[in-house]
Parts: sequence; structure tokens; C-alpha cells
Amino acid sequence: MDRITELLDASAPRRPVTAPAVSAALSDMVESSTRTPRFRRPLVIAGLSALFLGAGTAAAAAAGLLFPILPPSLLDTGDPYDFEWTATITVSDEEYACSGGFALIAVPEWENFNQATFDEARRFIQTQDWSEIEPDAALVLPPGLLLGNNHQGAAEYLSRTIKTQVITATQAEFDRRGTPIGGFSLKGIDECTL
Amino acid sequence: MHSVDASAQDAIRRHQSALLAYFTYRVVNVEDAADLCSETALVAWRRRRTMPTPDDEAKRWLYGVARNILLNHRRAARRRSKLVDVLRTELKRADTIAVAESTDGAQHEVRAALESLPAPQSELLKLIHWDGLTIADAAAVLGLNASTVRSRYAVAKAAVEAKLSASAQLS
Repeated sequence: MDRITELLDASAPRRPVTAPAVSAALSDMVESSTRTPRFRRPLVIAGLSALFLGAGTAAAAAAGLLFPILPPSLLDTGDPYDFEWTATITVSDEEYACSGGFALIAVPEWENFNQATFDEARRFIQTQDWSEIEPDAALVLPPGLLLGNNHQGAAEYLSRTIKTQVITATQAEFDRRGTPIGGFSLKGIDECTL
Repeated sequence: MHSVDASAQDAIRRHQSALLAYFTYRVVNVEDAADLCSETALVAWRRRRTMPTPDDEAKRWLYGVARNILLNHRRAARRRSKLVDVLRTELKRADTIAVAESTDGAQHEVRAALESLPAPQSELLKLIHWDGLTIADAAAVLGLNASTVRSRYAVAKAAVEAKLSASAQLS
């Protein structure tokens, strides 16, 4: 081995990735990241009555999509999402891995707020099978947002339409039941990576 | 667990330490490597169906994901789990000890020579000498063909040698 090769090999900063505490923390983090199911749903789903489980959700459970573990977001942040998704969205031949999630937040000050309806709406969102929902370009307003050079932004707008459809379907279901949901806002993230 | 899931999980676990090292070599604050490594694991897991199965190809694929994440590294607020916070804390603590113990002047000089090169040359040398990748691995990560990388590597190495010789003559 020549001298320059030796010097270059030896020049790596002595950074502490092999320290036992670092290795343990790294393993915990990777373990948590790689058990994320496609749709993270809370463990309590398993304990709910069949009344709340759509047929599609039961099929998803049978297919192993509902993991018998608490998702990391519930364990780690204390701020669970009612619904999370991942989607691969291609914009102008660029493939983006997108993820998003949101929680329904109660706004009791609203005139029509009803805690029982709100709780049921959250449960509805958590337990329905939304796997058929796909990003829908028709829901991006204005449509010109998809035509620019900001492909990542376009992918994020498209990903967000999943949330739009879940909320719209939930509101329609509760309107149909005669118990419209009043007094909620949304909190969450949407992110796409090339 | 599906075989795709199991093989992706194995690959990520196998290379997790190397990927963390990759980031620690390239960030100013060592604890930021925790966020980047977490993001790499999440993106790799999300896209696991496109991860190649042979280990050497999976390794290149993972480094490719890591490189993209590093290039897109933004200091925007990110949602950080407690597990990432623990890793940040441990990295910072261990790094403080490592830096205090590091007294090798020759290493600092070589590092300074590396950093003075144009970024693509410096990155190529780091991939090979710090991360332990082969020419073929580095070529895959950088999206170049191996013969191009081989010749660029020779040029970059000669440039470091010239800088070290010049500084030896000056001192």
C-alpha cells in the first residue's frame, strides 16, 4: 500500500459510531423505522367491535397490514396521527416517496361541537380501509400548480389530496348519519422525497 | 413478515453503522447525523420494494439514498422521535470524548488537504478511504461508470499528494 493510500485511510475523523451507547440507540431507532406498516393504525383497532371495522379493513388485517404494535409516532411523540399514508408519486418522470399523516383536533369552542361525534369521527378515520384512495390531480387547486418546475411541490400537493379525500368522505358519512361533525381542525405533515 | 420486508430490514440493519458513519463524516454537528440516518432508514423502508436483493447492490442502493438525503438536507423543522433524540444525545456525548482524544497532527493535515480539493474529488476520496467503498461501489453511488471514477480517483489522489508535498516543503 502506498503512503498516500495509508494517509487517506487513516484520515477518517474518529467519530464515535462504535460506542456501545451509540450502537444501542442506533439499533433502537432503525428497529422503530423498519417496522412502520404501510398504514399505521393504533393497536386499539384490534379491540374495537366489528361494527367499526369496514370489510376492507378486516381484509387488510388478515393480510397483515395492521401490525400488532404501537406505531412509533404513538410511542414517541405522544401525538398520534389518526391516519397516515405513504405513496409513490411520479411527476415528470421523477419518482417521489411521499408520506403524510394527520390528527383530528377538537375545537370545542365551535357552536356545533359535540364530543361524542368528534370521538366517533376519529375512530371512523382510524378504522376505515382507505387503501383504495389514490392521489387525485383533479383536487389540486389551482391546477396550474402541477405544471411548473417544482416537481417536489407538485408531488406534495398530490399527496395531500389523499387527506382531502379522507376528510371529505368522513364528513359525508357523518352528514349521511345526521350527525354532522362540527368543531375540528387538522394537524399533521406531508412530505415527499426524491 | 414478507420476504421483501425481511430482506430489506436485514440490509438496513447490516449497514446501519456504516451509514451513520457516512453522515458523521459529512456534517458539521455530529448529532445531525442522527436525523439524517433516521430519514435514510425511513425512506429506505418506504421504498423497500425497489431495494435490490444482493447485498453489494443493496449497499450501493442504501448509500445512494443516503447521498440524496444529504444533498437535500434542509434545516427546516423536522418531526423528530424520542429515539432519534436519544441517538443525537449519545452521538454528541461520544463525539466530545473522541475529539478530546484526537491529537494526530498528520490526520488533520490530510483532512485539510482533502477539504481543499473540489467537492467532487474530495467526496470520491472520502467514499473510498473513509467509507470503505470500492471503485465500483462509489461509481454506483455517484451515478457514474466505473472507468470514469477510476480515472477521477487517480487524479484526486495525485492532487492530495501534491498538496501534502507542498505543505511539507513549506513547513
